[in-house]
Amino acid sequence: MKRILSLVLLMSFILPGSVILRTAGETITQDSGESSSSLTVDYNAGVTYTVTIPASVTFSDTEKEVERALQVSNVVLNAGSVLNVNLTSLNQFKMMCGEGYIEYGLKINHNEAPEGNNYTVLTVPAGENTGWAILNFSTDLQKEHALYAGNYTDTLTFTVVIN
Amino acid sequence: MNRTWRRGNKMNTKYKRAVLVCLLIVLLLLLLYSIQYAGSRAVLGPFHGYGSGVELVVDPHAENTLPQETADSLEEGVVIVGRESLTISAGTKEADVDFYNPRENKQQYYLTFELRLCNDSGAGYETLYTSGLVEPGRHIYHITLSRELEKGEYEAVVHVQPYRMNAERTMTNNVDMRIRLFVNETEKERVVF
Repeated sequence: MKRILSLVLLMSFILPGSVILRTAGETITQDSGESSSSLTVDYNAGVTYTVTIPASVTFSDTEKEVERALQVSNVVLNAGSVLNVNLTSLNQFKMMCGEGYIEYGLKINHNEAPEGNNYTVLTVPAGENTGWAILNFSTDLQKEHALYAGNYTDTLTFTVVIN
Repeated sequence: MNRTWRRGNKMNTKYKRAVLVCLLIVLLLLLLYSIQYAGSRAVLGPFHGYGSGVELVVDPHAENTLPQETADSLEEGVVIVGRESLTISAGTKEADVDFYNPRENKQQYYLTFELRLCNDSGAGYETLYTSGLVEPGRHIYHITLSRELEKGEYEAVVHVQPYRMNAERTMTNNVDMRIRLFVNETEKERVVF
């Protein structure tokens, strides 16, 4: 009788303790000497990324400087690979309307872009999940070559290359 | 008299034992229930909000990596998902792909996809496939190429052209995704774009 009573008492002390262990997220190992089996969990992560590009850049008489962001996120690359985003302009950084044009300039992360029409604007190495670049576009809206009235446009192409 | 007392005492002991065994079973059941209950719920500290009585507020110290104006321009950006390769089957014009316009583009930007095969010189390209407008949240899983390809590995580009869905269907800036196009004898593999 006393044994049973002491067993009940013992259980009432031990059991709440085991619940606390469980709730604290501790691993409870059972030292029963049983053999354990292993489970291999595999996941083949393919190379993938998400790029967010500025849809457009619009200048006006009051807004001659425009800042836009380029972002690459959810980047998963093979070890040692690098993701580059290059920027080219359809009209060599001229907004066109027929044969008339208005030039505009580019700064990449606040640094003046050199002469040319193909810039690496963002580099994300393997192991980094995200990257971004700030692109500043500006024009003085000099209209000496703006031969026609109308909408002057240019199209930018962002080329994503994984090396 | 003594015999009756002994019998009574024996009955009493049996009764106590039964009660204690019942108590033990109840305790065991309680334990099992507690373990299951605790295992299915996260243990929350006093500041985890839900049910703690602490009001959750926006932390004023949380910073944006980008300047606010630039971050806002991202909101208006076009989201495009890419991969580095595409595998299709040789000797057939039919190909399984996954050209996807992410939901993030909401109803703002519809995308067209063009699969271009680069020339050996790298200067020009041949268009193998052009899609129609794909609305946000939709996929193109099956395409028909303009011609069959022989087994091999090719340089290719997936050209993604977004459009604003205004009356003029205005084109926005666009993306070229350089990929490796694997053409296999065997069954193709579906790759997401």
